[in-house]
Amino acid sequence: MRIDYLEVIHYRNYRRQQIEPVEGLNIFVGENAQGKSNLLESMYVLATSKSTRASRDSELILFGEPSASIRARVNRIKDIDLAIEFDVSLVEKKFAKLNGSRHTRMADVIGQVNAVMFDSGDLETIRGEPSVRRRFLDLEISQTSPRYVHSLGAYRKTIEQRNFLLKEIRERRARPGSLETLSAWNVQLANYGSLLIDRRRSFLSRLSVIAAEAHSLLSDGRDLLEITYLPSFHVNDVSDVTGIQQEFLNQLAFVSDDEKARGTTLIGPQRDDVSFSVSKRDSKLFGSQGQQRTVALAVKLAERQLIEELVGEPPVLLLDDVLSDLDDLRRRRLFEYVGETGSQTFVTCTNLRAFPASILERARIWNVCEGKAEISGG
Amino acid sequence: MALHYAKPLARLVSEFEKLPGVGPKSAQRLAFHVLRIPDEEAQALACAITEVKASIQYCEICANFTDQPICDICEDPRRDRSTICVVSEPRDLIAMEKTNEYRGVYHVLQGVISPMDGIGPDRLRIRQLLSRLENDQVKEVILATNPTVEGDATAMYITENVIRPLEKGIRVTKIAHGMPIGGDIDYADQATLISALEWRRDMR
Repeated sequence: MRIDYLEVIHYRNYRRQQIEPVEGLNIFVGENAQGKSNLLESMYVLATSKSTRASRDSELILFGEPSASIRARVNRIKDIDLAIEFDVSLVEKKFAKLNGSRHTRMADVIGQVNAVMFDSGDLETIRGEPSVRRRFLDLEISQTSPRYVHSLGAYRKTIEQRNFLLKEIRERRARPGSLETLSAWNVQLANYGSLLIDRRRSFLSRLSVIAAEAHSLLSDGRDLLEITYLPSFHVNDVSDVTGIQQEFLNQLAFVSDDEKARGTTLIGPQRDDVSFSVSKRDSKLFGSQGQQRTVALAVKLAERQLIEELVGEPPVLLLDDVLSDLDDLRRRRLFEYVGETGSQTFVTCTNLRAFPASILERARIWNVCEGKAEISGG
Repeated sequence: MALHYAKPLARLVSEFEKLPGVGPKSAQRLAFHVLRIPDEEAQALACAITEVKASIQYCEICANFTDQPICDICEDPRRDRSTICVVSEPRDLIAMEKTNEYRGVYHVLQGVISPMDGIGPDRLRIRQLLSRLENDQVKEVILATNPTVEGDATAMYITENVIRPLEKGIRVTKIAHGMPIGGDIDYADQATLISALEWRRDMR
């Protein structure tokens, strides 16, 4: 997948900007707050119909203008070439145009362009609260498994009902006979929950292998990255969904008194976590900023590969401010690795000193200043 | 705030507003409509409401709505009493009856288990179901609750906590969930298709 042409109009701090990227590496260089990340964001919006940074679509519009457009021509191996346009307006509903036909249902638009974006928010996956990592799991697995999406919804509904019941039991105001309904909720909880656990486990075991490879390349084979699923109860001894379901029920029986005393569900996917350890040390606790960034980057590169396997061609890679905190070795390794994947890559940075000369030779470089990007060196 | 309607009219509007699916605008339209219709028609409406409240009760056997102590279906000697179809609402029973295929009898739960809405088994017609299973010669119970989290939990409760403890060897089945007949596969939502795959069966 390759973006041959990108144009943004009244977008963020750009009045009108055209970009003709190259197949390999594209670099946006400039001081902070000049609009480098905005260009990466515009391509991410084309892929996902929303921004990782904007809480409202209207933030994407240049101040004083009624609407913003992002347009691109995309070359795809597995599909016909695509002219895509994405429009956000203060008055109209947002819409996209795919080869001329207009769509307001974003589900029709998402996935036409595939992109993987790395930005500083991704560090939170490593060092943030467990809920951030659960959200990461849900987001990643949901993309490829409608069944996961359905089970996740049903699981949340079940846990809401079950917690309500447990709270009533704790406060001794449960309706007569309600206590006996707990076992029915247990079956439902284990039924939907076991699927979530099974899918998370297999996703992480695949991710772990690929991310470890990427991490080993980035760190020159010095450090071993291990991604470990930490479910709320052990499932090491069971291999399939039915086994997990049975174990879930066993564990529920085990914590039953505790749950009634506490008035809430104590085990299940809502309490899962993931650990990222480098050479047997937990990155969240022991990692330096640079080490955490390398881990987050390795996870993103693994995600890139999973998408490539799924779609059948390399997605576009968007690396925002990826170079700070990385030492020279890791930087060189990163660009070697990315070059080998065949993913068209866009990088932002504040100066070019970080790049080895051999890599700069083949890259196209734009100087970005106050909402204008100009090709460097002609 | 000034009263825009004469008092009796305001009262009627506010009564209509309490009805499900009726907003302020519709309530106003209905009330003005009532004012415009002939007296007899308005009387007929009022009578129908009073009468339905006075005469409709729960069937002593299946808990469906009826104007007799026992409903027509439970009275019908041609119905097969060894098969009970359990539904949550009277409207589900009507939907089943429209098929003209089912020859068994029913049991209407009058709701589903939902702790958040304060509905436990005591609020449903489950004791009545239990006494039917204990006393009658029931061979099969068909569970036809909605395929929702609450509907499934209710079906599970009835299976495990009501029927199994009886140890009478009653067959318990659940209606299939999957593709609608005459439906397009490419229009079906994913949860439905997944269920259809799961509940597939051999070609004969």
